[in-house]
Amino acid sequence: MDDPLDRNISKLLRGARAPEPAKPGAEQRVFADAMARLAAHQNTAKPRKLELWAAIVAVAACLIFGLALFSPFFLRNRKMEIVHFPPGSPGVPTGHFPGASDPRMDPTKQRAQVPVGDEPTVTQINPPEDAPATQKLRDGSTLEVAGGSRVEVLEWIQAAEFSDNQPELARPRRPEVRIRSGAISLDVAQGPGRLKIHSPAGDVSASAAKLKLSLERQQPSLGTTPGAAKVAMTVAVNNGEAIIREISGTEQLVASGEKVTVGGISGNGADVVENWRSGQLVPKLQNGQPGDPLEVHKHVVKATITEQIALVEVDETFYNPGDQRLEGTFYFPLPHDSAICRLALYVGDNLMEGEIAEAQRARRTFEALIVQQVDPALLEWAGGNMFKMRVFPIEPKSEKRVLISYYEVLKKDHNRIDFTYPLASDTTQKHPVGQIDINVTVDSTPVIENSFTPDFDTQIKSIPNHLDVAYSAKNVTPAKDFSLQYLGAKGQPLVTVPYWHARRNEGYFLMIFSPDLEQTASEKHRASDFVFVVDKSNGMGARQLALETKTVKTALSFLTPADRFGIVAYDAVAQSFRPESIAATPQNIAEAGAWLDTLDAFGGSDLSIAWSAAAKLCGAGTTQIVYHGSGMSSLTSTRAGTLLAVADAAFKGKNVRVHCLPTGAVQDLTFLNELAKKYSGTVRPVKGADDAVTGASELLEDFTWPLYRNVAVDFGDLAVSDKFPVQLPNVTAGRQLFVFGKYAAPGEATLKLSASREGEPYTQELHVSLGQDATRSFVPRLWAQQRITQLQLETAGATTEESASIVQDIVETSKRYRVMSQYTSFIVLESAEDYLRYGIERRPDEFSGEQEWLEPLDVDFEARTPAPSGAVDKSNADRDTGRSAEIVRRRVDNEKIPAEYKDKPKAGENLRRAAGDTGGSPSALAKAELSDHYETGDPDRPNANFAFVGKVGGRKLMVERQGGLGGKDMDDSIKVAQKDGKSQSSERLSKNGAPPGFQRFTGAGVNLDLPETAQRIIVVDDIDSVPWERQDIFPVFERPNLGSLNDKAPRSTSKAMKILNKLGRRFESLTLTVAHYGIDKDGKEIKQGREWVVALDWKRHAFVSRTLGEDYADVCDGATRVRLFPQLKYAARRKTVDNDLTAVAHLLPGFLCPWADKIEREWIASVDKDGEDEVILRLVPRNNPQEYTLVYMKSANGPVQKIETYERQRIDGKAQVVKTQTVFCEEVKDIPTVYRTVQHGNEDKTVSVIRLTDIRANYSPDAGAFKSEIPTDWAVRDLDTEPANVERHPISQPVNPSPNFGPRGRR
Amino acid sequence: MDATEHLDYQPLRARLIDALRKGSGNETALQDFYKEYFPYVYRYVLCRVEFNHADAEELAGEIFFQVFRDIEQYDGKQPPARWVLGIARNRIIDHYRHKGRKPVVELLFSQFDEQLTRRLFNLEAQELPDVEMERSELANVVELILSQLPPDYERALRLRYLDDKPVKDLAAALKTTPKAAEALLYRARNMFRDAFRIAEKNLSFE
Repeated sequence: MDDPLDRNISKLLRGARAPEPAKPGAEQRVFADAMARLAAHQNTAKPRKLELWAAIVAVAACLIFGLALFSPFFLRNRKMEIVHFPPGSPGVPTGHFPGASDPRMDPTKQRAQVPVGDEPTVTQINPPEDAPATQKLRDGSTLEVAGGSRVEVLEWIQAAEFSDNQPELARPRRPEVRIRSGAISLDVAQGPGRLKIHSPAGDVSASAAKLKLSLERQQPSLGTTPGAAKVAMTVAVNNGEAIIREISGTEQLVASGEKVTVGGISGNGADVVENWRSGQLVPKLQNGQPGDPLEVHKHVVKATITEQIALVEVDETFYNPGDQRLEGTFYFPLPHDSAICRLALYVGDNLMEGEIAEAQRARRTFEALIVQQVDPALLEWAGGNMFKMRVFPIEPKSEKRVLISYYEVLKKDHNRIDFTYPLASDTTQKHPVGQIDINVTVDSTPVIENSFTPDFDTQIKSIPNHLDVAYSAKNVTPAKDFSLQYLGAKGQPLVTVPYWHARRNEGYFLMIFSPDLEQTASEKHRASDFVFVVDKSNGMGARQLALETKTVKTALSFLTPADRFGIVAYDAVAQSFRPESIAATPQNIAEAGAWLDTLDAFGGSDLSIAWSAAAKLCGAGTTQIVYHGSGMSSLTSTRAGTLLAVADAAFKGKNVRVHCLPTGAVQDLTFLNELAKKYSGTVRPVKGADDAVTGASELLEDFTWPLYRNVAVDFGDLAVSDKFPVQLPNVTAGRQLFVFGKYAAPGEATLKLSASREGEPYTQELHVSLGQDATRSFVPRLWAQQRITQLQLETAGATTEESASIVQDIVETSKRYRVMSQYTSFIVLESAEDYLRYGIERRPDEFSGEQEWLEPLDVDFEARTPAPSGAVDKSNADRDTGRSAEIVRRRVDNEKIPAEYKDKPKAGENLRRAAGDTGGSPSALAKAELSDHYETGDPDRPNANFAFVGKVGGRKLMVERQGGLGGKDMDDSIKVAQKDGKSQSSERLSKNGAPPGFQRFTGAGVNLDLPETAQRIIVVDDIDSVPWERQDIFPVFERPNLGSLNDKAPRSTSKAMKILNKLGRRFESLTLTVAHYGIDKDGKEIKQGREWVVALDWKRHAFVSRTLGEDYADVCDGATRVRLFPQLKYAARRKTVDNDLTAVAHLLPGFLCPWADKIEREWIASVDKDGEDEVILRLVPRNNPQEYTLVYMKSANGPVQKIETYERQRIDGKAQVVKTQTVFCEEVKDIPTVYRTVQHGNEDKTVSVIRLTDIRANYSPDAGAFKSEIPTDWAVRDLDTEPANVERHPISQPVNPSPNFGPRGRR
Repeated sequence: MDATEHLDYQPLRARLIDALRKGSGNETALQDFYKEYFPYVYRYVLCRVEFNHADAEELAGEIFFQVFRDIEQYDGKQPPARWVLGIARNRIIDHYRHKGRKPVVELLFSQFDEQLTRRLFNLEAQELPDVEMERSELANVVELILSQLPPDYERALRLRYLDDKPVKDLAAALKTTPKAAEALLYRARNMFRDAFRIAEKNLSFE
């Protein structure tokens, strides 16, 4: 192939995109469509009288439809269509018409279905200039406008209430607008219900809001997933709020002032929903479209199951094979009754932990930070059981590792427990998963009799009460979800899991009742009336619908001719197989099967009409309603509480039990579980064909077990409160009852469980003990999850104000217990300072030692109006950090960005501004070569001296204002000092004239002389907007690089550094609450001084200390310290380490290695002894060789046993070494930890005790290694409770005072 | 579709017209015709509507409706594929005109700089730089070009240039003589070369 043409063809063919086959069924659909058009054409070509009449009648039917509703329109340009179909009109299918993609939207077909109404109109306006300025349309009217039109709804009058023949639908409904293209502006009045706007990209609902919605066909979506969204919908809300529900089921809130664009689909919604399956990181391409999910390199799952509570820790590593930096969305579905408690991700080698924040604030922060190109991550609720995490950036050719943990309550069904982890989604990916590791451990009080993992080749180690299951595979595409099923022996009738929170003096409990319901299965309990409800909306997709019909068919096959059944299939309208329930004869079953096969997945879904239709089929006796679907209702309210109320209305007066078999990728499990609980039913997820068969057969078997109604628990003398569920559900024999609650005091009691079985009373007495165990921190979290669910249900029927307070309550609960909710999100920011800056509160995890943070600083980071600022040198982007940070902050807080931020003032003006407008406190220093500066100020004396420090070439320069108030130098002048490292020269400038080479600036009583060559001013507008990393501007955090320190360190110290480094890297951070205690003459403890909290941050080599009771906090890096005051404009007083902090530093065990750099900087460290049973470090202060400190450790891994301080003194003319202080570090078997300090060389021999009242550690990335290396009784135990069975030493008891110790402190 | 020209398609035309008469008993002819041409029409449309399957289905429905409706206007002299794709082309132009937008082909070409466009229009002049081959837009354009080639041509090109098959094997695969295969390949590469120039004009508004 020498010809360029040949080579080019070869190249082009190699690079060609693979031809895409048509979607399944497309061939038939297109043919049917073409033939239908042909038939219509032939009919029109030869109209017969009768057909013409039929057409006229059909159109007339459409025209006479609708209720009184007026909507003036304002027409300009672009095509759009507005349709309103009021529900509940007599004699027609109830509900709304489905999505725009529905073929029934074809006008010729649609009008035949339109119910008879009032006087709707069909207005065709083409060309646009024919259009009137405004036009009133009646309900049900269609407006067709030529391309390029724009329609604005000026006013929308609320629809009338419906209460005709359907009392259950007597709630007011609002009109609905359907938009296919173009734009619409809406001013939605307040009223009951929400106005819905349907579009090809999804639905929008709003009430009391002003919003603008526009649709746009997008540019060629090259390289996107086939069939992906092609229509983008932008919703901008001016006032109020709107909820967007994408066609795929995702929901998001658009708040006032926000503008959100979502991509919808014009075709098959099911594809996207399928793509949503779990554990996928879907990148957002440059054109805004979702790309192919990223490859999964590693998928590690660790599940720890303790008494039916599973803690699932997921660690997934994705790979971006492309050449572009991506923003990705990680989709993650969760089982019901689960609580997300952790989100973390790796940025480089650093593990970043997420914080819970109010959803809107989190999202705004995320959006703002994306612009800044830093590394945030956001995990938020995506509707139903789906959560999504947005990650940015995913660098090209690199991995992204994500960690998520959640708790799940596993239900027991006739001694069988099933733990499922969603894996099957990975099948939709192009690439197999590089490696999957699943480890499950089970600890169960009842003996585990049998265990198996269907479809997975696992290694199972089993001992009676313990199970280890391991699965590992490489390059696999799992076809099914991982499932571990095990059978427990018949356990105790009551398992109680308490958690006592000593600090707050309250307890939480989980009680699992397995009532001794010995009644066996019997045909006499068997139900005989069934109504199957099938969700056939578009969101289901063909595959899910096939699953549903299969389940129904299987269930039908189990019925006998004595049974009766009915089937309701619904989307926006409900269809019944037969108008009433019929006998389950073979012929009827066969016909029902054939009818089910005709169903297609179309349109939106409306659960209310499904329930109404099902209720009509109910007989006089108990009817079993078997629901198949997602539980999502796209055309009505999506709140679980409201949906429940709708079901209640429909089933009022009927005797029904409702069983749910959830299908679909996105499900509203909260609602379905509540529904099943309320109507004595069960929930069995159906994921595959196997589930369809087993689900149906188990369900029918369930009906043969007796049902226990009116279940109640009498807690006797126990002070129990806040129990969930509030109303205990009915229980089928063989199933369990989960009760969460709080208790005020530990204690024992006899509980009484009562119920009625077949009309006869049933009671059982059970002994319960609620102790002070504090190891199971999942209990309060799950309790909180239950509370949040309950609160969500309460939002139904609440007024706007009530609703707001409930949401506030949910947010608070979510934050306090670190459990995610619909209204809160997990956000990961880059640094502790970012959390403060963006107002993301970091709360301590009160309930476990897993991830702990210090109490929130009570620092009010009040936004200060920045002083009019000087120029910003755009050419040097990083100099703009101060301003850009301020801009980010303003974006987050939704504040306006001042105009001057955009303008570049003239140089001289800046100086004058800087010098003058800030009221005598200029915040600028100018000199051309001056690289940077920072300012300091004294909060107490704002008019006192100030200084600017910067560098000129290699020299340091300081400008200082002399004089001010009270000083000796009352002469208001400027002093410029230059330091070149060796010498310091200074020159005082009088106010009378500028020295040669300088120009004078005057304003507001301040003269500022600055070099004539000054061309640029760097202004720090607001010190708190300056990132603390900017050492040049804010040189507090010198972040020593330990690696290089190590290299440069003297040989003698390198080993010590190595040890310390090794130790310290285990901690991300450590929080200590420290209090001084003295011991009085009677040996009693006396608290001395104040308590303070110290937070150590290993990454930054810094700590924050806060004296409790004070309104400021100190931030320190071990060498310098700043004190942060409530208003940070006064922040940043440069100071050396104070006594208190030094004291803490001395008292801390050496291996808390944030001090490594301090040790290195302040002491010369060497190893005195490196034995097997003891390691001794010698630390000699650099500034005082007369002193040294010995740190005794058990091993290089700690713990520190003792710290001794020695001093060289001259006593009686002789040089002697005197021990001045000994700190004994007690083995921390006891709580609270006590460090006893013995002062030596002091006549009074005072003894003081320092009590470490709290320890909180953030695990380092490799938590496993951490646990194995650190003595477990040291860092990870809960400090609220004393461990049982450990003898506690009274604090006042002296522990081996110094006389028993030798010079080296050995025993 | 058939690459060989100058055949008489009158019998096919007659069968189709017959099939469209109700109750003729010849309905299968219509279905056979549809089954044969649907994949080509669909592929042709799909890459011209930004790979949007919903739009492609809708347009394909319209196209076949028009084909069935106007079957009597088909002269039976040119290959049916040419006639069908001609209809498809017009429907797509209508589709974009209706939306007031430029056809996707123009947009695709507008993403290339002038130099690359010139190179694509003169494939025989100079070898394309490797760096341009990475572009996904280019991959879409090539798919678009291939979609309008007769299938035998595409197959021949793929066998020769992708699989490096010699002409002998190519002939065996295409069930023809080596000489004929060579001629076909020659025509195919010329058509491929010219298609870039044609494609760009193909969907422009006149």
